[in-house]
Amino acid sequence: MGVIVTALLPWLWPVYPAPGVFRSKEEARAYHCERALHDAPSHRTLTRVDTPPNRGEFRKSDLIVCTQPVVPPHLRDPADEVVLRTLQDRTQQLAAAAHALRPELQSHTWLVEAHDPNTAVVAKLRFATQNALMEHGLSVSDRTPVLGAGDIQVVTRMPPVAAHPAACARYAGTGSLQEDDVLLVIIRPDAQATELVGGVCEQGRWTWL
Amino acid sequence: MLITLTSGCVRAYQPLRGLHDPRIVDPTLPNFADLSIDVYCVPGDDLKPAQASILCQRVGTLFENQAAEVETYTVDPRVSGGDGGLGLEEDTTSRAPADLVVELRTEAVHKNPHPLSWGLCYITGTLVPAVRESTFTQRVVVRDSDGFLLAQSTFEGRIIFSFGIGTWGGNKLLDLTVREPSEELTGEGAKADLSKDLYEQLTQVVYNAKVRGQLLTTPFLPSGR
Repeated sequence: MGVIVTALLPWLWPVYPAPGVFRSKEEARAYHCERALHDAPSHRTLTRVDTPPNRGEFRKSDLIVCTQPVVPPHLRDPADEVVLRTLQDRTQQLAAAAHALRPELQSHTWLVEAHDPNTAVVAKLRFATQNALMEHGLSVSDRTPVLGAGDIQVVTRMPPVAAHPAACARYAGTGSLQEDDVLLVIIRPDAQATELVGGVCEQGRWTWL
Repeated sequence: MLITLTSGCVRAYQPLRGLHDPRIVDPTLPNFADLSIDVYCVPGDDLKPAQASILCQRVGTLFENQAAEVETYTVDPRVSGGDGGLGLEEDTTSRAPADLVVELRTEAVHKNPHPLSWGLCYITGTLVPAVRESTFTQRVVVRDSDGFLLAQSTFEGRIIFSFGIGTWGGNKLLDLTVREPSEELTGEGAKADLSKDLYEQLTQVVYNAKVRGQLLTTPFLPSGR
């Protein structure tokens, strides 16, 4: 009896969702959690935390918000996973930065171009960024600017740091990007980098975000 | 008494945010060749100067192993006059600014001692486990030599410490019989897991900063307009 009670005791204090008797380290790592803080709420925890009463609380509240990804771990390539896991946050940041950089372009039409080795990621990046731009009240077009075959031959031989500004100049030069068009380009600057970098092309002028 | 003496502790580490994100850079490769990096570990309420110094030395070694030239500081290198607060005799005031400055801040955002569990643990002779947990954040900011922000990230994790013959015995039994070595909870695995996560994420953040810095500083062709 004593042995059974002793063996059962570790089950008494489960600290969700920490690794323990019921949950392996691998399973615990699958959760993405965030501790809810009054002074620094995030969009994931904001709606779950009540405003503290003016005179304070007698009892200390404690809340950790956890989500479990729909896609099992290790199913996607890490380079894709790191972008897609935080796709909404990343694209909203880029859209906000682009909008803040050039607020005078509010009435222009925004086009979006994304570059990534994985075409599925490109499509998702582009769509999410278009949505993020629309949330800022900008008009967005599905149109994609195109370059001539000669331009492509030249641009694709350049490093990314020079290729995008050069392509921007050619878009304007060939009329592919019109006067009231703005192109937001999103690239992964290095195969091993997990951060995305954006650039804005407007009337042939290129600006990194 | 015998039960108390044979009790042990179980320390579980759980990454909450950022620490277990996928990383692509391999920290065993020379990722930062020809790069000078200043590592500034900011002491505070939750990180004593001695602890900050140890953290800096370890992070410095991490980047040195990846071919970077590293200096470590526990006071702001921009105002310390070069000795970095480490009391170095060497005059470094004439040293060129580092390519990257990595600033590390550690903060304990939450501590829960679970006092009821400690009372029950005492009354039952450690049969009922005593539990204590703390959540920490590790903030990383990387700037270039001009102070321009290149990358930043905040990692969050928590450590759950439980003590008692029940929790230790049950977990030890599972470690010996069922669990894989990487899944064991009663040894030093929590420290090793946390170090691995933190060092690999730091490498990724600094690598991102390096790439962004190169992108922004490399001159590109004029637009022609």
